[in-house]
Amino acid sequence: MDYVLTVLLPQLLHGLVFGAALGLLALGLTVIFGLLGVMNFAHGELYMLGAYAGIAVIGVAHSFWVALIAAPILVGLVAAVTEMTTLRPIYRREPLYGLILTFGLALVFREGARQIWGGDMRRVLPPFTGSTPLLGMTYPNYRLFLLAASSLILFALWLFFTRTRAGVVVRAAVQDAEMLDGLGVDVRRVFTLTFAASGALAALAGLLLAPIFTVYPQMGVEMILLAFIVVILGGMGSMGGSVVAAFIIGVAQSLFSLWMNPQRVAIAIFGIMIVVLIVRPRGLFGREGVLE
Amino acid sequence: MREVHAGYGATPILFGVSLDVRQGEAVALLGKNGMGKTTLMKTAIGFLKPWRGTIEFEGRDLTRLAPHDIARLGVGLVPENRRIFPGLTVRENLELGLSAAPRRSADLRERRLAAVFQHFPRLRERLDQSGKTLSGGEQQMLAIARVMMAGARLILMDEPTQGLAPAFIRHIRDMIRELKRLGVTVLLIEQNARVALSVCDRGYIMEKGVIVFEASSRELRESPVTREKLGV
Repeated sequence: MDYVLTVLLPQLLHGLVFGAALGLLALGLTVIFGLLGVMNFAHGELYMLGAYAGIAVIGVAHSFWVALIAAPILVGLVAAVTEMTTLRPIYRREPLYGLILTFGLALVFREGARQIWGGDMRRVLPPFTGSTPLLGMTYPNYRLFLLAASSLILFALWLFFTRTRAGVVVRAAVQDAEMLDGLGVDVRRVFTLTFAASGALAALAGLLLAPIFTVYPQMGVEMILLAFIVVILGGMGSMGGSVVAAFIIGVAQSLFSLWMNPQRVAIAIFGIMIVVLIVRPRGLFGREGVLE
Repeated sequence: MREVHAGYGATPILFGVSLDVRQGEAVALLGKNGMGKTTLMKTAIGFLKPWRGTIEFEGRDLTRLAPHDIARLGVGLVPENRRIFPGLTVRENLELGLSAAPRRSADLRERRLAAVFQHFPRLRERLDQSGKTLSGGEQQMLAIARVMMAGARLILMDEPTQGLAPAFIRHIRDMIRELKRLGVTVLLIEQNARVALSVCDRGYIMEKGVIVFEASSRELRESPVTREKLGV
């Protein structure tokens, strides 16, 4: 019983916290996959830029909360400009171009960050400290805030996609962008705004997680790997699927690390993905033939 | 449409197609598979940019416009294979149809929805069902209803009866007549020449990327050329 309360339960909560933040990252990734037909390799770097932009804003404004608003906006702008200048000219070409381009963008952002901020590990202090007694244990307030904030944002996004016209437009663009254009929707603008929004979400996840992780130019690389797994597991292009899969992977990663060293955890995570794909090649909630 | 050349990548499909559709007319575009009929439709709505030639609608040059601009001018596409959004509900699909309408308002939506339900009561029953759960005929109705929501004045229909049961084919045919009565101009691609000529005023026959024959529907029905070119 002691083991459950002092070890298992906190770790389970850690997993949920991490899963919610991972969901923010994976949701943007899966929507962009739907639009471009390829994975956005630069997504992890937008996550990283979010953390650095947060540090920069905190340095000026001395407030985590201001940074939490400003950093996603800044990164969203970077994403919008990137989309308009680099991705837009290649939409009519094969998806492979997008793959290579976003891979290149990831390198540019990563090395750019190293040039500007250096390669050192940095820390972001949580905006508040302390713990709350919860189910017989005490749990850090910031992590509880992180879980609540991420879940709230995910819920707001669900409302956006199901209840607003703009959300329906984005879902339609994911399914058949050309047809949507033929119905009178300026799809180029939809692409730019969606790319910006997914960048802003990644940035938000980056800054929200910064106080419990460390900030360094490579930080996006391992996150993006997890986010890829989440998107594949959830079913490529399925938004609900990636949120569910994010919680699964978050909790799995967290619980596995109780019993295994980090390398084995990574292998086990891949193992989950492989097993699911053998049983259900389209992922948990994916459509069939989405890659065709 | 004047001397339109177009194709995919480096592959030319259309070799100087010229055709006219006058306001209020229904015109059939006939021809065997692979003769460039669908390519012509895609070029007209702007999915493909013409390599040469011009396309005009109500005196406006469409040649360099993007699809959404063409749609907003009043051209609606009912594409091959319907291309409704399978993951969206019927309501959401119809809502997107409204995108091309200038000055969208709740009032306009209600009026257009009412008009659509009058012609396709079945869509009202399916309103909150997702597009992929509809039958082929219902999907075709939805694709037509979608451009009616936009208030399109010229509707480009690509094989609307393909793969449908006879009852649905009759329904679609009656619908085209009804659209004409409402003053909508229709350019119709059909494999089923009999259906097409029963609703259209005139027809063109296309072969290997060019128009090879043009006549009124009655002449086309009786002409040996039709039989020869279409193999019917």
